[in-house]
Amino acid sequence: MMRSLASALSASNDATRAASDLVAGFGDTDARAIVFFCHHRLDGAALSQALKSRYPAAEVIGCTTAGEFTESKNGRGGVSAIALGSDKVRGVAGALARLKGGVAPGMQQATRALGERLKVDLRAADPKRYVGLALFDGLHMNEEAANEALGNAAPLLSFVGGSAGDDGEFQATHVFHNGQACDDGAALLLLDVAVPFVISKTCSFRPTGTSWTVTRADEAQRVVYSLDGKPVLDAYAAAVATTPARLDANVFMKHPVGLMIDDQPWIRSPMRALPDGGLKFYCRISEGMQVHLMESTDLVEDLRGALADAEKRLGRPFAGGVAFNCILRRLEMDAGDLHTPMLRLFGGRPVAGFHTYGESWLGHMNQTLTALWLA
Amino acid sequence: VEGLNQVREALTRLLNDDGKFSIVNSRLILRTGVNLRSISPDQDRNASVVNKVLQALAEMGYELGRTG
Repeated sequence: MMRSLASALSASNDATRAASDLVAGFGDTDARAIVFFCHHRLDGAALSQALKSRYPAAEVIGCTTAGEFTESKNGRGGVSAIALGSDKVRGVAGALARLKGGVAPGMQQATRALGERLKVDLRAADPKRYVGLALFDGLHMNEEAANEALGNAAPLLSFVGGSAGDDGEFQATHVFHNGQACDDGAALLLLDVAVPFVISKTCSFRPTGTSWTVTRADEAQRVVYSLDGKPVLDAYAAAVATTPARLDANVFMKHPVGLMIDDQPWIRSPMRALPDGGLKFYCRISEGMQVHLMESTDLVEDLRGALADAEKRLGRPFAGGVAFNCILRRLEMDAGDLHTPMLRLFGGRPVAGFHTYGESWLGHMNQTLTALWLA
Repeated sequence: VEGLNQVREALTRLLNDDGKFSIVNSRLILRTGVNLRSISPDQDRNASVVNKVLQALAEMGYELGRTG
């Protein structure tokens, strides 16, 4: 009997060998959609072309990473992937959005193509039947505008995903679709799903009780200058019981800020203190926003809770999924030896994911795991 | 449209579905910082805030009017 969902992993950074490993891992899966996540030294365009040639009925998207994982293994340097068969997806459309000429027009062109290929009006499409995956270039700071463009084209549909990485080098990231590559764009997949599905979003933080209103920010550069009218570095450092001179990556990782939506934090992680007194984030924060100082909780237990909640909403155990895990969570997992406990939570069911430079669902966020879970 | 409470009422009528309202409201919060389910008194009649919200909703295809 053909499998309808299969994950695969290759430790090779040679595209031909990696494709062969993935095909072996997929076995007899009747693939309609393939999503892969590969090391930036691997030729992702060649890999996606090889997979498209082997599975001509499938749409193939992928991106480079800051590490790859399946339900059974976490690694850096190879590729993870998942194949969705026709029992899971009735229809699928893929597109590559090139954003050098402008984010809005590039995303508009790509989303229009998705709708045309699936013969569906994205504004009227049933959000319980259609779902999107979105892989963004991770270095051009276009994720907010790209997510807004997705919201303008299809306000009620979910596109879940993450930002491509290059294993912490911060030089170039790529997204792929059916043999094409782009270093300044997005790879999109729209699925007409044949089974129940849910989106989940989890982070390991809770609000401390301290909150501020952002009173000055450079939104385009993702820099905040003042909170409640006070210099941001003074206000933030005082809240975490240190001085501006002692703010470093360790403090930032433990104490990001978050927007609270329906009692859930949407995390914005500080990147570094700037010489001009600003605090640069990995995510845009607008003037007027109320942000809450966060403190760490238990990453594994929070994921366990998120998966239980996803299964409650699904009404049954999930059969598999695609997960997007922040590189800052990966660093915490590296330090705490948490990869194995995390993978165990997937219970051996097919999962493919990668460690990202940012996560997406309705908007852009940090220090989060976003995922699509299929029944 | 005079204030955000009117915007919330109009959007609620238009979408007529709590789940859909939640999705659009989440997008709105991430774009503008304004939560239509928790409108502060200083936001409600602030013309620049109301304009920002109306513009974001219009970009999403929900034309709810203009501020006076």
